[in-house]
Amino acid sequence: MSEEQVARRRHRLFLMVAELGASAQAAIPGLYAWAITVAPAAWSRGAPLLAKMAACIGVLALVTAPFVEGAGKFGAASTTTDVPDDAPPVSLRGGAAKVKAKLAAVKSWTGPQWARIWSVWGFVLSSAIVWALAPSALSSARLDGVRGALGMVGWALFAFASAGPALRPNPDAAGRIVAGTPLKPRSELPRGDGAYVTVGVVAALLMQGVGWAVSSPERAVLVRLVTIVCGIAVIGGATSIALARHQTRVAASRKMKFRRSLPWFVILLMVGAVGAVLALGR
Amino acid sequence: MQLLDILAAGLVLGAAVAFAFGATALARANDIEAIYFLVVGVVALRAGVQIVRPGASA
Repeated sequence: MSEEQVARRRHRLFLMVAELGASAQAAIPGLYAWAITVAPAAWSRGAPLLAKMAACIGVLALVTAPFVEGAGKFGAASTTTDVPDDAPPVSLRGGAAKVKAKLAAVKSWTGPQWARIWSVWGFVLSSAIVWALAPSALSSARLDGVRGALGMVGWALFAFASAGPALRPNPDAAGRIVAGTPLKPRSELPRGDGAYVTVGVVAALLMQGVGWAVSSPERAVLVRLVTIVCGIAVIGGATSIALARHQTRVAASRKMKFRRSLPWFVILLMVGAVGAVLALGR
Repeated sequence: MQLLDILAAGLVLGAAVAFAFGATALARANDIEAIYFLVVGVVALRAGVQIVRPGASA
């Protein structure tokens, strides 16, 4: 792929980000509020599976709302929620006519309107279901005060972002950009280094899945501390061996090799001996 | 990729597995086993990093 194609793809990505509507902008505080107030309740001890499923539906509503919005009409007019001119008049009378008018009004909803309904009602109702199914998670004994206040801020931001129109980029901003030579990185990331770091990060993340069912709080904190330290060590080790591939390797003398490897051989022997003793002791 | 790189990567992966075993043992309140696996992990990680240090190539 040529540099021009890469630049064009990036440009398109930036345009897509700039075209994000109100539901996409509301999704960020919504996810924050969900992580602070809904997820801990859904995954608290004793919460039923239905609460977890409802919590997942809430996230789904937030994440998929921008796609629902994108499925409607695009452009500057798509950010408004006004009923289009071709919608039927409200002055229609009679039961059937009213139903027909309502159906016609629903049919005339634009993408942003559908996205707003899906985002707001999907998220709010699923959160209410979670709280109803796990009411003890919101008790003052289990809910931290600071976390509760932060959750309120998150919900307020979600409500504000959902109710207000989408923020548009400043049209004058483009005029303030001074054209110049494109910035170039000082050095390119060598091939293969990313794979080393990725493997290290994945191993460290997998390690974080260990020990979440420990009943004793002290031991639970110790397990978390140990897994975090071990994860950092693994990432550091993976990065070190990735960087060492690019250094010039000079053959070491026999004496140096012996001096370097001796302590590790001794430790390995000790570890092996301890393992054998442990195995025999069972 | 040299043989030393493969060996170092294997040692680091082995260290990660040992750390995971150590954390699991710690969660089960099996402290001796946890310390054993954590020490194995530290040694394997250190060995993996040392083996590819400049001047260490055979």
